[in-house]
Formats: sequence, C-alpha cells, structure tokens
Amino acid sequence: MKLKALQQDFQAYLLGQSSDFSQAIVASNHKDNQQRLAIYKNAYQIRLIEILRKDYPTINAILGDKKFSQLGKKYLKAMPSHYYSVRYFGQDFAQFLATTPPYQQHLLLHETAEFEWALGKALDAKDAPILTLQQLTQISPDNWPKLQLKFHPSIQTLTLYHNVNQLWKAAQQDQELQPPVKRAQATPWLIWRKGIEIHFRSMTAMEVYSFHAIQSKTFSQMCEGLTQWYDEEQVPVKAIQLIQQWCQDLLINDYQLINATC
Amino acid sequence: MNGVKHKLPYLGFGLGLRPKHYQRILETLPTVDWFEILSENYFVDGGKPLYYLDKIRHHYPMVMHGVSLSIGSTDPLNQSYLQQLKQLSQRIEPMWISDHLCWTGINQLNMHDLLPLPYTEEAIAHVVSRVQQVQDFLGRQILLENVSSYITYQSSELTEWEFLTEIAERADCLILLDINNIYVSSHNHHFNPETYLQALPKSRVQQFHLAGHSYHDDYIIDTHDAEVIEAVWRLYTKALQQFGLVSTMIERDDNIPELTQLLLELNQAKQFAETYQHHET
Repeated sequence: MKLKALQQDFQAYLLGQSSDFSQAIVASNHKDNQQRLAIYKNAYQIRLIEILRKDYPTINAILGDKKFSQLGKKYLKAMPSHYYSVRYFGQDFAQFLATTPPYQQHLLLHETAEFEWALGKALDAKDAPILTLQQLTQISPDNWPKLQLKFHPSIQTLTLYHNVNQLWKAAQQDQELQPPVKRAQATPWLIWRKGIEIHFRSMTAMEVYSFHAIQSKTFSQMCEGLTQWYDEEQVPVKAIQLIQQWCQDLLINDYQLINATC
Repeated sequence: MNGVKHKLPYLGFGLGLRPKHYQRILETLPTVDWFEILSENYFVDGGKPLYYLDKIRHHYPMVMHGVSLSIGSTDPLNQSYLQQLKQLSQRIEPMWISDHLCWTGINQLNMHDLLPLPYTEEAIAHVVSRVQQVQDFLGRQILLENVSSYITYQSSELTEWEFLTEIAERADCLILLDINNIYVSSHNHHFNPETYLQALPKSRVQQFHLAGHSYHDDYIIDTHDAEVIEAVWRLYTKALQQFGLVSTMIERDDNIPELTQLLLELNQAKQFAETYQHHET
C-alpha cells in the first residue's frame, strides 16, 4: 500500500471513520490486531481529552471526570486539531459549548470556558512595556485632552452572569464547588497579566466605558462621556483616579496624542 | 545541506525542562549539564513560558526537541511551523534541534501522536527529501528520534534499524536514540534490542533519551510517566559500549516528580557512564 493511502486509512481509523486500516498491519490473530490498533485510538483520545481537562479545570470540576471525558470525546470528534501545538486545541471549546446540545442550555459551561480560555490567553500573550504613572505625569497639562491610551496585549475582557471566578478559585484549590450563582445582570470582567502572573477583577459600567473610550477616542472625549455617571466638576478627578488605578494595575502600555476632529 | 557542518559537541547529562521545575531551577541552579525543551511549548507570543525559558537559558545550554514536524507525513511541510521553529532557535541558540521519525497527521489535521512509518523504500525517499528541505531551511543538521510502535505494517520491507540508518545516511542527519523506545518496541515486536543497537552507525548517534514506560495487557506503552527500569539501564550500558559517551537525558512527560528525584535518576545515568569509562581505560 502506498504511503499516502496508508496514512489516510490510519488517520480515518483514529478519527472513528470507516477504514480498512486493520488489514494493513501484521498481527498474530484478530485479538492481537484489535489490541494493537486500540493502543493508538485510545492514546489519541486520552491525550487530547487530558489537554482539554488541563485547559478547563473548572468545567471538569463542575461536570466531574466521567462527564467531562464524554464531553471531550464529542469535542474531539467535532473539532479535531488543526494546530501543531496542543496549546490551541481547546480554543473552540466555548463556542462548541454554546452551540451543541445539550450543553448549549447551560450558560454556566459556556461562560466558564470563556473565562478559562481568557486566562490562558493572558498568560502567554505578547510582552509589552508598561507605562508608569511617572511617565504619564510628565505629559504637559495642555496635552492631556488629546491623550489616547494603548493597553497591554495580555488584557482580555468578558461579561459573565455567573460567579465563575469563585468556582475557578475553588477548583484551583481542589475544594468542593458550591452551587453556582447567576446574577440578573452580567458583570464585566478584566483579565490580564501583571508581570508573569495572571490577575482578574470585575469592572463597573463606568470603567468599561472609559476603557474603550480612551483607546478609540481621547481623554477629553472620554471625560465628556463620564458625565453620565458624575457631575461635570467631579469628572476630571474621577478620570484621573481611574487612570492611576490602571497604572497601578500595570495595564497601560503606551500613549499617543491625537488631534480630535470632533 | 547548504552551509558548513560543524561537529556537534558532547553535552553530558541533561533533563527535559518542564514548567513544574522552572522556579526551583532558577532558585537552586542544579547540577545539570543542559536542558532539552519541547519546542512547541514555546511557540507563544510572550509571558510566563518565554520568561522562564530566557532566564534558564542564561544559565544552561539547551537543545530543542519537537513533536509536530511530522517529517513522514504526506502533507506538504508546514512552512509556518518551520518558521516558528527557526524563530525559536534564533532566540535560544540551541546546541541542536530534534524531532521524531514519524508522522503526526495528514489533511492539515494533527493527531498529536508519533505515528510510525512503514519501513519501505518509498517512505525512505519521502523522508530523506523532507529532512534535506528542513536542514536547508534551518541551516543545520537535525536529529531524528526512533519512536515506540505497537504495530507492524504489512508493507514494511526493512527492519526499523535498517530504515533509521538508511534515512540518517541518505539525508545526512543525526540520530537521537531513545533507549526506552527500543526496549518498548523490542517487547512489542519481539526482536532483540541489542541487534538494533549494533546495526546503527556510531557516527550518527548524537543523543540518548532515557525514560520509563507502563504495561498494558501484553504490550508496553511508551508513557514517559515512570522511572527508568532496570532492563532499560542494562540496555543503556550496552549503548555506551556501542557508541561511547553520548549526551544523555532523562525524559519525563507525565507524573512528573520533584526535581531532586529526577536529579537522582540522572546521577544513576552518570554512574553507568563512569563505570563504562573505567572499563574503557
């Protein structure tokens, strides 16, 4: 049998597709044949399900080992790896959970997958310099209205209805998980890498607005929008406090001065 | 291969670099001659993995060991993979780069397993041509490692050791000889592991791997999750007699123990090598 045909048959066997591969190997009897092939099929499934389990420990804690393995098998069948690093095998897991019955009925699973994947993304995102408060204070007061900020590439934002952060912490500590709590309103979350360690915290609606405004507009325009939350005279102080907080959290990477057209 | 070939050095006794040990290594700078990294673990943009990699590289020589080159696949070589491999090699300047004599998938899929090749002339020609392309791209010789296998193809025309030797000679590449894998395959395929060792060209063997394995029914699986067993140590001493001192490392991928335990195991390898040296002198 030609190499390409042999590899087609072997891979089809591993993927659980129709294949004549068992006839391509030497075996002393049928049992020997099946056992030898099963070593590869089992290894394929176990290896990738374990990768998924390591990437999503909280989902494993929510479902338990057995149900997680069943879920892993379904994901592997639907989303075989196209990546040369197992690091990215699980990247479609949240989407899979959101669109595949019966998991799609459980928002908790989808949210937890999004949260855990975001932690991983923050962990090995690109390195970048951090802008210090001292550097920011050197900007002339006349230029502050034109200020636009660039944030660190490790930053991930998402919104969660469930208390995924608490479930994650319990799973990390091998504690029994308490029943999840679902809030009426979704909470925005910020996940990022501080040095080499991962941090996360919730954000207020005001901070979410400011976070996006200062990246796409200017400090002056951001301040205009802050009047939704504060009296006009309070706005500069609140805006500066927010930027100080971002500096302390090592979130800001760089700045530029923009001549706003509107 | 384009460019000048240099004889690769003898590095001594190394360990596989694993995240569990990063901090301990930096705190204690243990007596390890070199570390082998899993290349794909560092195909990331930044953060913790590369932070520790750079810090540890500052103190130790390193070699790069990959699992997804898929040198035997009938898919085209993955140019993006090769580019990342090259970028990483420029970052850490490894003493050498290795991967496995296997295939890992076709049709742009990756099974993430080291799947065996049939030992045929067709497969030799295919792999040799690809090794040459990889070596030209990287500007250096690569090492190919023998994998454990659990099946024998009907179409195989040669023994595994004939296949490995032929590829190394024709492609002008080097061999990373996994002693445990020879032991595992010899059990699964009923051959004498010493016959394997005796057939290989001494000048091509650049590195040894030592590892543990586990039994499943009538077969041994190359799980890399346990200590090196006595029979593999015996085979290692045979390999020392056959090839002389070769850079040796303990490879542990699962059930990873504390660093101190791996250092003890590495010391055992050193002691076997010292005994061999005394016999030589």
